Amino acid sequence: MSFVELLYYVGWAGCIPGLIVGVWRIGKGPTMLDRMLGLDLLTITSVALMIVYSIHHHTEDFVELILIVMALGFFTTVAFFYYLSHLPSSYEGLSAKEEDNS
Amino acid sequence: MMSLNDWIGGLFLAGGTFFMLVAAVATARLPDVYCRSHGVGKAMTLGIILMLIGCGIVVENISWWKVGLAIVFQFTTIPVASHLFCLVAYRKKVRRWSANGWVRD
Repeated sequence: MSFVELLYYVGWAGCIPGLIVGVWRIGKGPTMLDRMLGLDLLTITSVALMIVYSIHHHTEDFVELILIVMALGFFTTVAFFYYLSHLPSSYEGLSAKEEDNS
Repeated sequence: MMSLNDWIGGLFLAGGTFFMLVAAVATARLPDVYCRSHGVGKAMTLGIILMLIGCGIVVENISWWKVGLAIVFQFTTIPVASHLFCLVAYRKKVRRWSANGWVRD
Protein backbone atom coordinates (compact mmCIF):
# COMPACT_ATOMS: atom_id res chain seq x y z
CA MET A 1 0.00 0.00 0.00
CA SER A 2 1.55 3.21 -1.10
CA PHE A 3 1.29 6.59 0.56
CA VAL A 4 -1.35 7.86 -1.83
CA GLU A 5 -3.58 4.89 -1.03
CA LEU A 6 -3.07 5.67 2.64
CA LEU A 7 -4.33 9.20 1.93
CA TYR A 8 -7.45 7.71 0.33
CA TYR A 9 -8.13 5.60 3.42
CA VAL A 10 -7.60 8.70 5.58
CA GLY A 11 -10.30 10.31 3.44
CA TRP A 12 -12.65 7.41 4.13
CA ALA A 13 -11.97 7.52 7.86
CA GLY A 14 -12.31 11.28 8.13
CA CYS A 15 -15.93 11.20 6.98
CA ILE A 16 -17.05 8.75 9.68
CA PRO A 17 -17.06 11.29 12.59
CA GLY A 18 -19.27 13.59 10.52
CA LEU A 19 -21.87 10.84 10.13
CA ILE A 20 -21.75 9.86 13.80
CA VAL A 21 -21.96 13.45 15.03
CA GLY A 22 -24.80 14.21 12.62
CA VAL A 23 -26.93 11.31 13.86
CA TRP A 24 -26.07 12.14 17.46
CA ARG A 25 -27.04 15.78 16.96
CA ILE A 26 -30.35 14.75 15.37
CA GLY A 27 -31.17 12.67 18.42
CA LYS A 28 -29.84 15.05 21.04
CA GLY A 29 -30.24 18.62 19.83
CA PRO A 30 -32.12 20.85 22.29
CA THR A 31 -34.11 22.72 19.65
CA MET A 32 -35.48 21.74 16.28
CA LEU A 33 -32.88 23.89 14.55
CA ASP A 34 -30.11 21.74 16.02
CA ARG A 35 -31.72 18.63 14.58
CA MET A 36 -31.95 20.31 11.19
CA LEU A 37 -28.27 21.25 11.47
CA GLY A 38 -27.45 17.61 12.13
CA LEU A 39 -29.35 16.61 9.00
CA ASP A 40 -27.47 19.22 6.99
CA LEU A 41 -24.15 17.90 8.29
CA LEU A 42 -25.23 14.37 7.40
CA THR A 43 -26.14 15.35 3.83
CA ILE A 44 -22.88 17.16 3.15
CA THR A 45 -20.85 14.35 4.71
CA SER A 46 -22.56 11.79 2.48
CA VAL A 47 -21.69 13.97 -0.52
CA ALA A 48 -18.10 13.92 0.73
CA LEU A 49 -18.24 10.12 0.92
CA MET A 50 -19.34 10.00 -2.73
CA ILE A 51 -16.40 12.23 -3.66
CA VAL A 52 -13.98 9.96 -1.77
CA TYR A 53 -15.43 6.94 -3.57
CA SER A 54 -14.97 8.66 -6.93
CA ILE A 55 -11.36 9.47 -6.11
CA HIS A 56 -10.54 6.02 -4.77
CA HIS A 57 -11.96 4.09 -7.71
CA HIS A 58 -11.01 6.65 -10.38
CA THR A 59 -14.53 6.69 -11.76
CA GLU A 60 -16.42 9.67 -13.13
CA ASP A 61 -19.91 8.17 -12.95
CA PHE A 62 -20.98 9.87 -9.74
CA VAL A 63 -20.68 13.57 -10.56
CA GLU A 64 -24.36 13.88 -11.47
CA LEU A 65 -25.33 12.02 -8.31
CA ILE A 66 -23.19 14.45 -6.29
CA LEU A 67 -24.96 17.42 -7.88
CA ILE A 68 -28.41 15.94 -7.27
CA VAL A 69 -27.77 15.09 -3.62
CA MET A 70 -26.34 18.56 -3.01
CA ALA A 71 -29.45 20.17 -4.48
CA LEU A 72 -31.74 17.86 -2.50
CA GLY A 73 -30.03 18.75 0.79
CA PHE A 74 -30.22 22.47 0.15
CA PHE A 75 -33.87 22.43 -0.91
CA THR A 76 -34.77 20.26 2.07
CA THR A 77 -33.25 22.87 4.36
CA VAL A 78 -35.01 25.76 2.64
CA ALA A 79 -38.40 24.01 2.60
CA PHE A 80 -38.15 23.08 6.25
CA PHE A 81 -37.24 26.63 7.22
CA TYR A 82 -40.13 27.97 5.17
CA TYR A 83 -42.38 25.73 7.26
CA LEU A 84 -40.62 26.68 10.48
CA SER A 85 -40.84 30.42 9.88
CA HIS A 86 -44.65 30.17 9.96
CA LEU A 87 -44.72 28.63 13.42
CA PRO A 88 -45.21 30.87 16.47
CA SER A 89 -42.22 31.66 18.67
CA SER A 90 -43.85 29.86 21.57
CA TYR A 91 -43.71 26.52 19.76
CA GLU A 92 -42.12 24.04 22.11
CA GLY A 93 -39.70 22.60 19.58
CA LEU A 94 -37.95 25.97 19.44
CA SER A 95 -37.30 26.47 23.13
CA ALA A 96 -34.55 24.56 24.87
CA LYS A 97 -34.92 23.56 28.46
CA GLU A 98 -32.95 25.74 30.82
CA GLU A 99 -31.06 22.93 32.48
CA ASP A 100 -30.03 21.36 29.20
CA ASN A 101 -26.80 23.19 28.54
CA SER A 102 -25.45 21.40 25.52
CA MET B 1 2.34 3.14 -10.48
CA MET B 2 1.41 6.52 -9.10
CA SER B 3 1.53 9.65 -11.17
CA LEU B 4 1.95 13.22 -10.02
CA ASN B 5 -1.78 13.88 -10.35
CA ASP B 6 -2.51 11.18 -7.79
CA TRP B 7 -0.16 12.79 -5.30
CA ILE B 8 -1.58 16.29 -5.71
CA GLY B 9 -5.16 15.05 -5.60
CA GLY B 10 -4.44 12.94 -2.54
CA LEU B 11 -3.04 15.96 -0.74
CA PHE B 12 -6.14 17.99 -1.66
CA LEU B 13 -8.27 15.10 -0.36
CA ALA B 14 -6.37 15.06 2.93
CA GLY B 15 -6.87 18.82 3.34
CA GLY B 16 -10.59 18.46 2.71
CA THR B 17 -10.77 15.61 5.20
CA PHE B 18 -9.17 17.81 7.86
CA PHE B 19 -11.86 20.44 7.40
CA MET B 20 -14.62 17.81 7.51
CA LEU B 21 -13.21 16.73 10.88
CA VAL B 22 -13.21 20.36 12.01
CA ALA B 23 -16.90 20.65 11.08
CA ALA B 24 -17.75 17.46 12.97
CA VAL B 25 -15.94 18.68 16.08
CA ALA B 26 -17.66 22.07 15.79
CA THR B 27 -21.08 20.44 15.61
CA ALA B 28 -20.34 18.25 18.59
CA ARG B 29 -18.66 20.75 20.91
CA LEU B 30 -19.97 24.28 20.32
CA PRO B 31 -22.65 25.38 22.78
CA ASP B 32 -25.26 27.05 20.63
CA VAL B 33 -27.15 26.82 17.34
CA TYR B 34 -25.59 30.09 16.14
CA CYS B 35 -22.06 28.86 16.89
CA ARG B 36 -22.77 25.48 15.33
CA SER B 37 -24.10 26.92 12.10
CA HIS B 38 -21.01 29.15 11.96
CA GLY B 39 -18.72 26.15 12.31
CA VAL B 40 -20.56 24.01 9.79
CA GLY B 41 -20.90 26.81 7.24
CA LYS B 42 -17.25 27.80 7.04
CA ALA B 43 -15.49 24.47 7.56
CA MET B 44 -17.82 22.44 5.35
CA THR B 45 -17.56 24.88 2.44
CA LEU B 46 -13.77 24.78 2.41
CA GLY B 47 -13.59 21.02 2.95
CA ILE B 48 -16.03 20.13 0.18
CA ILE B 49 -14.35 22.49 -2.26
CA LEU B 50 -10.90 21.02 -1.57
CA MET B 51 -12.29 17.51 -2.00
CA LEU B 52 -13.95 18.40 -5.31
CA ILE B 53 -10.73 19.94 -6.63
CA GLY B 54 -8.90 16.75 -5.67
CA CYS B 55 -11.56 14.67 -7.45
CA GLY B 56 -11.15 16.74 -10.59
CA ILE B 57 -7.36 16.36 -10.49
CA VAL B 58 -7.20 12.61 -9.76
CA VAL B 59 -9.95 11.22 -11.97
CA GLU B 60 -9.11 11.18 -15.65
CA ASN B 61 -11.93 11.74 -18.17
CA ILE B 62 -13.90 13.80 -15.68
CA SER B 63 -15.60 16.91 -16.97
CA TRP B 64 -14.25 20.04 -15.29
CA TRP B 65 -17.52 21.77 -16.15
CA LYS B 66 -19.45 19.44 -13.87
CA VAL B 67 -16.85 19.73 -11.11
CA GLY B 68 -16.91 23.52 -11.46
CA LEU B 69 -20.70 23.50 -11.36
CA ALA B 70 -20.62 21.44 -8.16
CA ILE B 71 -18.04 23.83 -6.63
CA VAL B 72 -20.10 26.90 -7.50
CA PHE B 73 -23.26 25.25 -6.20
CA GLN B 74 -21.68 24.34 -2.87
CA PHE B 75 -20.05 27.75 -2.61
CA THR B 76 -23.46 29.42 -2.88
CA THR B 77 -25.74 27.03 -1.03
CA ILE B 78 -23.85 26.11 2.16
CA PRO B 79 -23.43 29.74 3.35
CA VAL B 80 -27.07 30.46 2.43
CA ALA B 81 -28.25 27.49 4.52
CA SER B 82 -25.96 28.60 7.36
CA HIS B 83 -27.45 32.09 7.27
CA LEU B 84 -30.95 30.59 7.23
CA PHE B 85 -30.21 28.77 10.48
CA CYS B 86 -29.15 32.01 12.14
CA LEU B 87 -32.03 34.00 10.62
CA VAL B 88 -34.76 31.62 11.81
CA ALA B 89 -33.10 31.23 15.21
CA TYR B 90 -32.95 35.01 15.61
CA ARG B 91 -36.52 35.60 14.45
CA LYS B 92 -37.87 32.88 16.74
CA LYS B 93 -35.83 34.20 19.67
CA VAL B 94 -33.89 31.03 20.38
CA ARG B 95 -31.62 31.60 23.35
CA ARG B 96 -27.97 32.20 22.64
CA TRP B 97 -24.79 31.52 24.52
CA SER B 98 -22.53 34.25 25.85
CA ALA B 99 -19.58 34.27 28.21
CA ASN B 100 -21.84 35.41 31.06
CA GLY B 101 -24.53 32.80 30.54
CA TRP B 102 -27.54 32.20 28.33
CA VAL B 103 -29.18 35.23 26.76
CA ARG B 104 -32.67 35.33 25.32
CA ASP B 105 -33.40 38.51 23.38
